[in-house]
Amino acid sequence: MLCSRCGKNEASVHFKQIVNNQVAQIDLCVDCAKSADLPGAAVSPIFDLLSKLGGLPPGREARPKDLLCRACGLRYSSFRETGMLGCPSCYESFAGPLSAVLKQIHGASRHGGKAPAGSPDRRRIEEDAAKLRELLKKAVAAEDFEEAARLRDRLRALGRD
Amino acid sequence: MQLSNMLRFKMGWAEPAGPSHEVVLSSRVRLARNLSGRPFPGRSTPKATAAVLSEALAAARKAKALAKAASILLEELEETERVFLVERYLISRLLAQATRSRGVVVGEREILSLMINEEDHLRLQGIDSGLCLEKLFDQTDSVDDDLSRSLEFAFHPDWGYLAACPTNAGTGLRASCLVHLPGLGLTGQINRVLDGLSRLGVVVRGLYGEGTKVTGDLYQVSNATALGPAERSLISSVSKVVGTLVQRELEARRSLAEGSHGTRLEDLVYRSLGVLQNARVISYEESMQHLSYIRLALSLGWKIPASLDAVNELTVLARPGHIQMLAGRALDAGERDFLRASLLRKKFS
Repeated sequence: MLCSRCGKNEASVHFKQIVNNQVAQIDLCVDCAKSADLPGAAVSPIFDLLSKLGGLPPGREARPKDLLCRACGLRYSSFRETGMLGCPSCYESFAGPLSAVLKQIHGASRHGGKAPAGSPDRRRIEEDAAKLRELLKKAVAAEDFEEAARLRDRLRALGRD
Repeated sequence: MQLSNMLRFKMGWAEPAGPSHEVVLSSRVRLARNLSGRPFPGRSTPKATAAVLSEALAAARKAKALAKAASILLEELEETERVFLVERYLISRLLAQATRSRGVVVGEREILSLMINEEDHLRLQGIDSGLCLEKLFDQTDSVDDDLSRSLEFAFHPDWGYLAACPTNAGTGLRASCLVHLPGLGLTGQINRVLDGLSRLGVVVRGLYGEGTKVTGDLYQVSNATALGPAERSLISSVSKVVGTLVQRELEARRSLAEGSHGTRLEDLVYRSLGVLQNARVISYEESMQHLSYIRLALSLGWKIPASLDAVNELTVLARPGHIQMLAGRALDAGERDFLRASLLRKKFS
């Protein structure tokens, strides 16, 4: 099979990319794969995973300047190679590119689950859930079942249904 | 602690008691947690790693559900013992390799366990029989709350629990079920059914986990992502997919047991029984294939000289590490195959 970009050399890099929910098969020769800024061209497991999940975030994320985590000394380039972060502070140090990575992996960028016992986040979730439960009770009493269903979905999203 | 004693205890999940246990061998819930302000184990100094181990062990002792748990330090174990723990789903291969300041806390009937200093500081696990992810999440959630009263977990309001690998960030949850699908295998539907699952937010792996071939018609189905939805919502998605798989598998089993197919299935099952009752040398892979057919027959209510809990246990007892533990020493492959065949003959006599 010939490279789908240059059409001259034998294609040896094959991958599928999802663009607007359409799966596209891409076959490139080694030279075109190297020169192109492509998902799957990186060898790190995390980027391999990302390419399988539908490609890297385009442009800016693909070539970030090499950031440093001051807390543990890990460089972003090292994370790109291994897919592993060095410490919890890496999340803040690499916040820019990492938020795109998280979005790409999980398809979401906001945690909707539990928080550690006693933490302010946990209290916030509990308070929100208490308010929603109160509203749900009122909606049911008023036989506004559409509103009740909506409130139940919100409670479910908080993990408190 | 003498690990060989564990050979005498039944693993909680092997008891065929949970919902849909005829198809779902076990369910497992795992939560990844890290301590705030400390480097992850992969980038930690020996001193910092040791500090995390002792703090985690102290916190585990205060957790109600782990009150009677055994604490095991990996550096005190022989290699065969570490393999034994991997095979019992209590530690990962990664933990078995890096032993210094690594530990595992194992609760009663091996249902709850806590790995310390694996890829993340803490990996809390609950494993039990049948399709029971909700119940396991309740149990691990409560231990997690107890632990977070003694330890400060790394947590970000937007990104949730922070993990060494961003694939685990968010809830840190992996909910998985080990499903036995011989019916779909024998009716040739397995690939089509599994292919369809990837669109439903779950991933499917072979029995041994990532990148290994499928043994004994056993597949692991787990959530594909961990950040975004709440834990219970992720769990409910996996449970729904597994519930559908159970229905498809049971239909396939019924169709296999009917009419002329029935005779072919009977032939397959009794040939397997013959091998298990008579073989003098048998590999793990081969024994798993035969055990798979026996398990299928037992679930259809056939009279076979074996019980479902014995077959469930054998999926672990026949593994190389367990055979060596039984022998009390390291064995080469030939010796293991010989001892495995004797064990199986005894169990099916």
